[in-house]
Amino acid sequence: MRTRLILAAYPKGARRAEIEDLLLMAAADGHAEPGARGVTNLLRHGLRARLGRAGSNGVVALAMIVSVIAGFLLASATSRLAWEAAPDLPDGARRAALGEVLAPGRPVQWSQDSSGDPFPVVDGQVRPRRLSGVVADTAETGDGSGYLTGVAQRLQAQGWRVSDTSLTGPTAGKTGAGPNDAQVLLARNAHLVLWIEDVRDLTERQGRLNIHVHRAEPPWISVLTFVAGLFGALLGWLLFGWGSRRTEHHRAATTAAGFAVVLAMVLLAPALSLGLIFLNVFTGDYLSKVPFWAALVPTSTFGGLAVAAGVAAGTALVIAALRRPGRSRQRPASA
Amino acid sequence: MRQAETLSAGQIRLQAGTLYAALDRLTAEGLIDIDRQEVVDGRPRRYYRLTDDGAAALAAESKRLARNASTASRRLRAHRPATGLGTVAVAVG
Repeated sequence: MRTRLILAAYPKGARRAEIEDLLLMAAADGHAEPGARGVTNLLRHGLRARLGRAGSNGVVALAMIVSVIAGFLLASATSRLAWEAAPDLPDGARRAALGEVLAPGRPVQWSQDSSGDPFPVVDGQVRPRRLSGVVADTAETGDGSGYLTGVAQRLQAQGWRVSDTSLTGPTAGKTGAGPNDAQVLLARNAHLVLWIEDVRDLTERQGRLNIHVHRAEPPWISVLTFVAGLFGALLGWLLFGWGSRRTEHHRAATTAAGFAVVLAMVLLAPALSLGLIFLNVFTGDYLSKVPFWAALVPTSTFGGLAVAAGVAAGTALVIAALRRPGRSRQRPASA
Repeated sequence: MRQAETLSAGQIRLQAGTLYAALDRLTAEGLIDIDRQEVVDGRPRRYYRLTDDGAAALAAESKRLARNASTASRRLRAHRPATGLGTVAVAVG
């Protein structure tokens, strides 16, 4: 039973039974069942056998790239779906309590994207839904550094982890109204990421407190995403192997399917590169400004490329599906 | 696997996965072929044989190894052991 499970790494066909027979003969000769080394050897060569094209190193390299991409895609889909079940942004009493920590005794004007989409696309960019708040200028908030120190202390007393405070001024305001002085504080707890900016327009002598609240990624989503990535990588390997074996002895099909696969890889390169960058941001201390799968959303800036990549990959699969597994010059040693 | 171990005086213990990967590679290169197949206890048992190309490749490889071994043996015979402990030749420059 154990041996058969291990031999499932090989593609379906006579090869599994052939090796089982060999192992049984070896056992009859007094050899023990394969140990850890033997099992690893069977798994490694079994997965390689799934690619067909014995002796080709190129197919292995291509399969590895496809695996990474497939892992990325399944991790992306899983992460996006999992966020649907993540705790929502604070509302009602929780929102009021947060406002009281940030600006005690002062009203916070909260606003939130009204659409129910947790990741709306704004100007071609996927942005996690956030809760924004503004506190009008007061004598206390006018002292940026001093005020944020107080905010940090109150947050830490409530269990928040203050990760960074930085001065972001004086700079020219976006409106061109004049130079401003601003200080930013970042904090996070188990559920939320907080970005607070105490900004002061030096010309107008006015300021305000800008607040953005994002949902922090729950640990279970990180774990689920990672596991899905591994599963996706395995799935990608098996799917690529299936296509590779079916087109193995058809030169035209191999060329066409190979071209489609490489094209899909090239088209997905921006999404994959941005994903790696976003992943760094996403899992770091900084707030989750952009999800790592953002460039895969069809309506985003790079979404068109991802859709085209999907079409190319689909074409490769159709080419493989239309082919019967070929025969080599010799009788096939494996299915 | 048993034969590889016997022929190499126990120095080579071939793993099943490695053996079949090699068989696949050699088959793909046309160096071996399936000679016959029988079913034992419901499992296929295949016997492989060298093809003409395989025999030629093996002969060439065998000749190459023999030549290398011969060269090594000749050099070894010409080797004169050092006359004393710690005697080494040092090239400077």
